[in-house]
Amino acid sequence: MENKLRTLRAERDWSQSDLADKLGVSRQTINAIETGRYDPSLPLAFQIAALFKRSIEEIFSPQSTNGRR
Amino acid sequence: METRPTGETKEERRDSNWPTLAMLTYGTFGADSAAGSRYRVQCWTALIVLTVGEAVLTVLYARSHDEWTRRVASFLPGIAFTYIAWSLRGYLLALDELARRMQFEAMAWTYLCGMAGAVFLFGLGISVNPAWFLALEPLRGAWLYVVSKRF
Repeated sequence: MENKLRTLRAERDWSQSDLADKLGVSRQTINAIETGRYDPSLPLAFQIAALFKRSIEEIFSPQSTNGRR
Repeated sequence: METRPTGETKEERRDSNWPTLAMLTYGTFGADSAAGSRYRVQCWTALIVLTVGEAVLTVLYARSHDEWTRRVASFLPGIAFTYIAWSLRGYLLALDELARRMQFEAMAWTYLCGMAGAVFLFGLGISVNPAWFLALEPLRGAWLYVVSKRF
């Protein structure tokens, strides 16, 4: 799954740690999502969407960039 | 923090940097978080109480030969490791979704390896001592390390 998390975060000048704190997850989790190594759960995806005031579809798209899960 | 042309910062260019030493020793993601720190303290408390308790009870039994000291000594390891298991439960509940998934995956692989190892030893005619299952804890740490390489 692809996502625009890194772009959205960079637009706000947030570090991975900043975003992790806002979402209540670890920096490693943000890193794994941004690099496509981990797909977030639906509740976390909703949380991310709400934080950036976007819909989930605007942030996440189904194109697979990394087949390994 | 230095910003790069793509909007990336120095921090983002790092890999995930999972804490290798903590994973291999404690089977956790370090003591930086309150939950990680609490789990570490609880583990050490249990192990110290177990060690000191067993030593004291052994001395008492040698002196008095009271049956209750032997009984308490036989229950003490079970109580200590039940406490550690309960502490681990609390630690797991405090983790975020990725960290918890990695822990569960490491546990699943450890369980399968333990089963395979036990059956293998059984086939060789070697009776498996339940105490050997303690060796699965470092194995869980090793699996956690392996799993972390994917994320």
